[in-house]
Amino acid sequence: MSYGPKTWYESKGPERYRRALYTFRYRSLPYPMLDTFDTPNGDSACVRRARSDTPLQALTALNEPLSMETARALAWKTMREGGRTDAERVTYAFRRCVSRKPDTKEEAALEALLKKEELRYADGKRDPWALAAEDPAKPPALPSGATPAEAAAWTVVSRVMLNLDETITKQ
Amino acid sequence: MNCQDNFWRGQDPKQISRRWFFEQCGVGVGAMALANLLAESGLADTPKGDPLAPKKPPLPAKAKNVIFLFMAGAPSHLELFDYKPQLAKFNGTLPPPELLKGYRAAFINPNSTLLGPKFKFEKYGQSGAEVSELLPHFTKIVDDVAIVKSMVTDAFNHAPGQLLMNTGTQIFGRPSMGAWVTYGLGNESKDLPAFVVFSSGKKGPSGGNSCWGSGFLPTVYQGVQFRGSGDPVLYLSNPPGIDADVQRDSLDTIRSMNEMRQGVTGDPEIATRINSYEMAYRMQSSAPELMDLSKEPQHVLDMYGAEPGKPSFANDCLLARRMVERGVRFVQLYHEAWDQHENLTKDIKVNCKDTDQACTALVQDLKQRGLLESTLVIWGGEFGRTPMVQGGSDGRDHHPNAFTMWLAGGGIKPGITIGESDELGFNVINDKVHVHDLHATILKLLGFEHTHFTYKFQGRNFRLTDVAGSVVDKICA
Repeated sequence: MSYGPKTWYESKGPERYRRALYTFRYRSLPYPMLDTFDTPNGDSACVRRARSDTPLQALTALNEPLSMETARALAWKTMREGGRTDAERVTYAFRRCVSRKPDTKEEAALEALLKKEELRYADGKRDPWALAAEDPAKPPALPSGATPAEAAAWTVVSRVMLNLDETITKQ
Repeated sequence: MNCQDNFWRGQDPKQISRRWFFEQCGVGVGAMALANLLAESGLADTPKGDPLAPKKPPLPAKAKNVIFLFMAGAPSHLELFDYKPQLAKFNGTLPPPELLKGYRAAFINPNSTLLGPKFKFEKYGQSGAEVSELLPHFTKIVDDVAIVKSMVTDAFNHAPGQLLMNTGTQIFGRPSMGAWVTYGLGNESKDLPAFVVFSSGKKGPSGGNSCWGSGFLPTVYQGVQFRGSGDPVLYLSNPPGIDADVQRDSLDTIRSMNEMRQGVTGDPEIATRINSYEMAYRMQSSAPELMDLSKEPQHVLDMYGAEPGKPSFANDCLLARRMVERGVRFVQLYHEAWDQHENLTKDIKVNCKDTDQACTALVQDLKQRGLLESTLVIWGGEFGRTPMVQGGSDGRDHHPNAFTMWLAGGGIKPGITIGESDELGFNVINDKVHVHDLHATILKLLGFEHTHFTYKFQGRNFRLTDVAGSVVDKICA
């Protein structure tokens, strides 16, 4: 989808995970997601990129399919490799995002969110796999002792961590 | 922001980013001690004002909102507003050599034969404004607008021309007019961005997103691009598995963690990030409501020629009105299709058909709702077209020496035409209005003296008009 009459088709299989370097570029119309993140047009020289911080970027980082896949991947990695306690796992995922350990307040905020969302997704009104699995009909195997609600809650928490200013901004 | 920006901006030491200080400049234990000193003296407090809070301009203002109908690609003044019988008479002959001295054209050899106007003109309204047969709708609002036939610019290619028209310079990286205005006046809408951009026609403008960039101004003043149909912006809907409650919980945590980080680093750009995320959340409900044209009565849709769900310049014009009603400060509509190097007769007709009715309806609609008084409407492109032919017998090249724009509402004197180009429409001979003068005038109408409206960057005060510009009093009511 784009602002002009051009369409990019979603690649299938491993092609899907090639770097954006290989995304087709029209000279006068950058790929919409990159456009949102200030990529310049290809039809004039650019010596210094404009830098912006807009609600469109927030919407992309929150809701775009790639962002969701990333959040999901971080959630599963954290559940499988991030340690045994919630505290260990929060620290593990947080470090992967911002290269430092969370302080006590940050850790508390993330753990509180984890608990809250676990309850939400365990209430039977929401399908946790709709969030935690790429294909809700074929959910991946859970680590021993874990519940689908937990997987959904970790996806929410991972998505939050990936959307922090500190994760997005490199100063 | 980069390492030196804080200095260039001449920011209050309180606002200098400690993140920058610690992380970029490699300062060690001494800096830690300084941080303690700052904390004790209260200097490390983070300023948390809303950068988009509505502000009063320093001087009395006529206009509160701006709608800029940007006819990107540069429409031919000679086919639309600036009738030249002499050009018809000398059709097929070479222009006088003294006219071409020092003149540079983008593509053609300047010494090409003259091309007479392709369409008929007549005088309309009380004001007797001369308008081409291509703009039958516009003839109904000639008494509401001020036509400026004496525009000049410095650039003869699209990207630099559009940047000059939008940012006051041909170089990338300066703040756009919309960013300046938003910086000066803030946002009156809680649920929509202050500066919104639409794009219709064949492609986006050549100047790209720098046309609505914030340059060295804080990034919160950047224009936000909306799409003309469907989801107004991409990824507005929550992804599968995330409902409104989960989205709110997530944003609450993002916000509080960003605030914690801002408390530690003092980086003012984190405030922008927080604003962006909160605005994104509000737009998830406000934008679909705004974009839903199906609620507009049929006679209004007909007036614009708008069809809900079908992207068009007409839809964008109607959306612009709806945005101004909701307090959006600056709306810019790009329609990129006017670059008629060839097929002038056919293509300019298409463009006029796509835009004439909607531009006219916008002015009429704003007027009948009492919004025109406080809304400045601007129509125009980045330059004009050559009186000389390009590509056989039906095209014109880029021409910076003379072109036409019109303005309406927001303190503009209605029903007048100012300025004059020479007999061939080549050079301006009367009441020359440079792009800088236009900017100075727009700022005046919004309540700013353009020489005082500055932002310090790289050690000096910058203006939209940089070191030029004078207000065109003749078009101000």
